[in-house]
Amino acid sequence: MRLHKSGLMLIAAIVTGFAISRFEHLINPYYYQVLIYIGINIILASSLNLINGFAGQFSLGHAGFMAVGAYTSAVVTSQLHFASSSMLNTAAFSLALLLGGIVAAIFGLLVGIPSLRLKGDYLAITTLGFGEIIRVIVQNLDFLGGARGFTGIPKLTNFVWVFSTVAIVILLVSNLINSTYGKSFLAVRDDELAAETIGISSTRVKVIAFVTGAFFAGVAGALYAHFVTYINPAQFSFLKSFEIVVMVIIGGMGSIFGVILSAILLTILPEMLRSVAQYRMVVYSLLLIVIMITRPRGLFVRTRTAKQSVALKTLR
Amino acid sequence: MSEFLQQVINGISLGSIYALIALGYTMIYGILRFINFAHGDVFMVGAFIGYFVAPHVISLTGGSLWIAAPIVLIVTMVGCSALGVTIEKLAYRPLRSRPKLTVLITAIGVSFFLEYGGQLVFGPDPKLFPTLIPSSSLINTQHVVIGTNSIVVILTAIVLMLLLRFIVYNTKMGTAMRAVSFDHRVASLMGINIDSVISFTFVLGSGLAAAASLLYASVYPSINPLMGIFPGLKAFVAAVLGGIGNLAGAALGGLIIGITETFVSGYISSSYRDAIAFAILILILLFKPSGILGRHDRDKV
Amino acid sequence: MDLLTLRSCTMRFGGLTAIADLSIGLAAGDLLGLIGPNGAGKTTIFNMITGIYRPSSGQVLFDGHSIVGLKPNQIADRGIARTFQNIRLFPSMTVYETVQAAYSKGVKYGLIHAVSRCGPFHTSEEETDRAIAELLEYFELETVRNEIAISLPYGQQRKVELLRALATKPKLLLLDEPAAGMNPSEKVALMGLIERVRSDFRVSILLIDHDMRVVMGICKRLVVLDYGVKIAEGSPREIQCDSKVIEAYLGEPTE
Repeated sequence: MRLHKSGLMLIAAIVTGFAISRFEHLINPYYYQVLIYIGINIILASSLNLINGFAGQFSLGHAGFMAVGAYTSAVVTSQLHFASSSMLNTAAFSLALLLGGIVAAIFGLLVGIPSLRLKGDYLAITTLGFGEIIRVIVQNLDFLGGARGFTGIPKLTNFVWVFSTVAIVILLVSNLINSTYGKSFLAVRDDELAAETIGISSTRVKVIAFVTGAFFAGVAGALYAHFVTYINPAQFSFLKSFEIVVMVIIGGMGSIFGVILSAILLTILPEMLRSVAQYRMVVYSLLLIVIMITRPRGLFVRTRTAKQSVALKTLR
Repeated sequence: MSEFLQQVINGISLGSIYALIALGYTMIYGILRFINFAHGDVFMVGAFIGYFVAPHVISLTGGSLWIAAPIVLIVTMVGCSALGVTIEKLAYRPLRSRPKLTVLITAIGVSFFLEYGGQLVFGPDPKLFPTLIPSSSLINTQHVVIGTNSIVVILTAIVLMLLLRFIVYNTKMGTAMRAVSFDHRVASLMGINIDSVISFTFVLGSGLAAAASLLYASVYPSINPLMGIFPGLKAFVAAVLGGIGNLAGAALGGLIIGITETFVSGYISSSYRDAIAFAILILILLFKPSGILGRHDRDKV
Repeated sequence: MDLLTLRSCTMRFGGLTAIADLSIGLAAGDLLGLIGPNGAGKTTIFNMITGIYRPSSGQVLFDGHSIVGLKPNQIADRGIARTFQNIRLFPSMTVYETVQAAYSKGVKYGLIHAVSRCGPFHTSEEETDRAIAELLEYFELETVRNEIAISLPYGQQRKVELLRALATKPKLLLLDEPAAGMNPSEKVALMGLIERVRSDFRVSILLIDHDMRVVMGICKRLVVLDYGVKIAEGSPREIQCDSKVIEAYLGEPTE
């Protein structure tokens, strides 16, 4: 019964995506672009939510995984030229997305290892460092275009690809968290030591979270690369990582729905502030400070009971 | 060999600047146990205060840099200290008992605010920092050039560090700082005013960042509102490398990072310059997380 | 053969010796009480057994195998579960989810099944659900199953923590001052529950308390600890008359 429910939801989402894609040419290209960015940001924020919100490992290196996925997939599609047939295009792009995700997941494993020994802001700065190292390495690799960037990536990303991935990510994360298996993630986040004493391997949980989160960040990077058709290392600096982290924080760490909302909001908001572009980031940063002081658990999350906040305070 | 010597001197000069910034990180971390992400941006503001104040001071003092420079230094240090204390009061103090991550995100927000506010106020384009240190080469052989710049940087850093050492170990406020960094609760039971100690720590840290910014801008005279990001991050790495919370460690870490960075850009490629500090950070955290001079903390069960 | 054996274990923190040359044996099915004044090193022993600390020297054998150097989760896998003196429940979880977390290790499916909800997922989840319901009923917690665990009254929180430990199906249960903060009648009820749990779940129990009267009633054998050293061992009656024990609890006899 429940199997049908989640399967049906996925199929419904993909069918809707296809239906909308029929009318793709009718949508204003600017709105279309914003819509695609919303989708990519939902994937990025939801996958980071798995690491930050559910496993409780504060990571500031998500843009690094995104870069790995973007470049890997760009190399794949640039090696495979099938522009003549749309079937083969689809196959090539699926492969590119998958490989982008897998290579990013391998990097996720590498970055996940320090998380086994580090906590809190130490882990944050280490993951930030990893992200920057990835960026600097890409900058120095000539076959990836170095600092000049990678050009001529075929424009294969469309509405269907992006929103099928969105549907899959949301479904996977919510299935995981609502299963008995997934409770081990929340246990590690809540109290690592207590989780260990009931047999949960915090090592395993953290590594799985980093690998899965990095996989989807890689896929998001691949989708992004094949939408903008030109990528360079500067697009994946730690400012991009901060942007994703802010989406998770404002949405509420560990809230699937809140994070989706905030990814939508924080993609649209800067677009709306475009007319006052020079104030945009100042407003954005002030907003962040005010939210942290007044609603530290996010905009879309119910407040904790007093006892819960006390308990969390003493634990962290 | 002579090129090697040149690199060492450049490295020590850059390293002493990092050390001054790192001291601020390490003191604030020691007292509040959080990374003040905005510290690098306080450093940036210092460079801009210097940029605006220096021409006036120089014309007032009739162009004598030996008199003008110390005045600019003091004005900048006061300005940054005021900024640091204000940030702590407005943004960090309301969050003092909240989870660390909330404070960390707020610090990132403050950092953004200073960076983009700086772009708004000062304009995003780089500006040329005025000459504050009379430039001449003290030693100038065929391969090695030691300018007054490097010597002034190193000497200023040493004087400031000795001054800090004196304040922390030989004054009442310094003793209070050490007590608070050891245990907030016990310190407040002893009648220490925690708030004023924290403010004082921000005064010291931001003042040192201000001094560092003038030295940095004298060596690399192109300044812009985002200039604080990387020196800030590298100085934080220096603080961790030396053992966070440890003053001598921050100085040592700063030197190591400065020298390593100079060598990597001199002998390998300058494009790896910004990554090397992070590589050092990851290695140190994996193999000796308490840093070179740090003590080992154990989680209490 | 004993289920748990501590063989001349010593635990030093820097210059401080918290536990000195301690040997304890606990046979399967036993309910052994570990008592001693505050600061005697009782919790340190639990931390040593559960892998949070590694003893400076000595051996810890469980089921005949050394468990020194294993991680806490590996020791839990071998069949040792514990509670904490200052209750450590998961702050974001309901009572039901807390027990679920304890089952998360034993589910009969993996990550792929969890996210795709196919294969053995549904049968396993239903089995777990039934098992949790039974446990909640046994502990009379079914009415609060959807409450946030840490919002419950203190006594019920203790029960949830005990239940979380039992849900891992341990062979040995370590209880760290389970009666702390309870009034005398609650203490009596709790001791009854512990005794029932021991026989119904066929689990051996090592119980810490600083209050001798609490454990006297249910433990057949007691070990008394003072300043990290075992000063007495025996039946409650023997312990009561032991001069060293009286001295440790009441201070040196004055002339």
